[in-house]
Amino acid sequence: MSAEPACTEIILEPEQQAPGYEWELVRRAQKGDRAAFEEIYRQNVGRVYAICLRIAAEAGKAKELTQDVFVLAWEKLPTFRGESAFFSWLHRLTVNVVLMEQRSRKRRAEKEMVTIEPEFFERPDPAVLPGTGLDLEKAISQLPHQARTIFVLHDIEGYQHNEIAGMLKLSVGTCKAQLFRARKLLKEVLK
Amino acid sequence: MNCNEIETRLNDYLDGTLPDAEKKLVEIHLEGCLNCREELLRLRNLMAETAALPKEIRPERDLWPEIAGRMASQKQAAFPSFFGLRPSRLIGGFAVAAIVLLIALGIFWKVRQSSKPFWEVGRLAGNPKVGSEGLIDTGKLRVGEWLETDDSSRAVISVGTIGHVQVEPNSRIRLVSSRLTDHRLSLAEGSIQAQISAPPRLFFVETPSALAVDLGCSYNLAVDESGAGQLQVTFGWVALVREGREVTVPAGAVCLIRPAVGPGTPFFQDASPKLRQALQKLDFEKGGADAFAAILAEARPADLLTLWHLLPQTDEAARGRLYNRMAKLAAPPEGITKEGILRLEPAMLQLWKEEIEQRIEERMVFPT
Repeated sequence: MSAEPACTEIILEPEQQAPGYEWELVRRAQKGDRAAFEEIYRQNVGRVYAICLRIAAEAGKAKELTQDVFVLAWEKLPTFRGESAFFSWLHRLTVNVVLMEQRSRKRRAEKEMVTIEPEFFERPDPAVLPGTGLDLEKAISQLPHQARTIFVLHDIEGYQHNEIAGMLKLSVGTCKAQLFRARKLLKEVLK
Repeated sequence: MNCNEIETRLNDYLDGTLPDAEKKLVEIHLEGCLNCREELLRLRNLMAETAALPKEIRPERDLWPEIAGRMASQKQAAFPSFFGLRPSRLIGGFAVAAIVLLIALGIFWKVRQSSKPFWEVGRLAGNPKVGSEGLIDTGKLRVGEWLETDDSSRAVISVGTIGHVQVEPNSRIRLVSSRLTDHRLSLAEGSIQAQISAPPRLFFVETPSALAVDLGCSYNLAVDESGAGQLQVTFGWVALVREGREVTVPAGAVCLIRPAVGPGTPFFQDASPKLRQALQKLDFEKGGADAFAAILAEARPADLLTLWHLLPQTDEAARGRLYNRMAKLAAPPEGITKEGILRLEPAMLQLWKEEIEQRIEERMVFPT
């Protein structure tokens, strides 16, 4: 029944298709070589920033998250054993950083705004109402945050529902429902 | 399926996660519904546009200087060396190791559980359960697990790659075996519709009264809380087996089953009500001479298979009367004698059965 792509089936960009060179950079960076890590940053920042921007839907926040990802990657790099492609490891790290930040933001919001109905956070910005002619990227950025996160992880990044459900601590059914909701909203916006 | 039901299924349809049975229903609906076809096109376009989005977006400014600045205050993680640890840390290390071992054992148990063979199961309506878990959309039915539906739930089970079983409301069914040569369910209660496309004797459904053996077919099987029930074959053939006795039920026929008795005598659905009542009396209610006489009187040429099934169930005198009636309805094939049938010679019984089945097959292909 399931024909979803596995998240590990990531198409590598041309400059990432030289595993020997990439592994050499990683090996040097693991020993503390900052120049090698800068090269790793330059090769991967576009992919990392794209995930952060699409899920956070805020350029400023996405830049902060991208920095967090690379600082954490530097810190954790010695634990990378080369059992998967480096970008797969970095990709998972990126998603974890973004989701952790979302969770802590939600907790803060709940503390500060306890009187506000929970749906408030799920309500789309009025700017995404049908007929506004926004392009797809902008329409995605204005989806309700949970639907957006699931849409980006599933339809853009290729994660499966069970993986997303595990990361977000949701049931697979809720995950699917949110994805279908996101697609429905996008269809309306892009009509 | 109406348009509302189709809408959510279109997503699964395009994602390739819809069970085959539902996929067919969606395709049938799409053929006749322009609105839903347009909806499918919009969804397909959205997914194509999404797939074409760039994988990379570069930030407007270089973030490296800030990252490099923060890295200066960060230490890289290092792998601990046992030999460099103080004794107190070493004890802590052993405690951690013990916890890790426990976790590993837990994971091992979980992996062992999850490595059990499974069939995919999809929700069709309501809240079916697999084990104690509600089935939200699709799930796995592992060997040994029960699928349960309440009065408003339905589900569909994919039988490996050979077919599917629709589970109707108020049913309890368990996956017993998922081997290449033994696809086996156990229906404790409720009803199912099975559609199997495979060589004979690969798919089995156990019930409290008899074992249903697929001979290449579609059928409905129902069992009540006492274990009694009935099999209705809609395509092909099904065998019902209990304690060495086997009856074969063709498309268009029904066979009742009862606990402690097993299968009754199969009969075609268009057989006369008197014949059906008489069979029930004979099979399950110790019906005597009257029931037997009614069966002989009511039997048509189309009921020869019903009469054939009675041959081994009757004494020699009654068998003689059965033979006479059968021979009158249709001449026995060459090589069959009354004496041989009275002695229940297996080769003769088999030959006659094959001849009757051949005629039924011909009627299935060329109905009159």
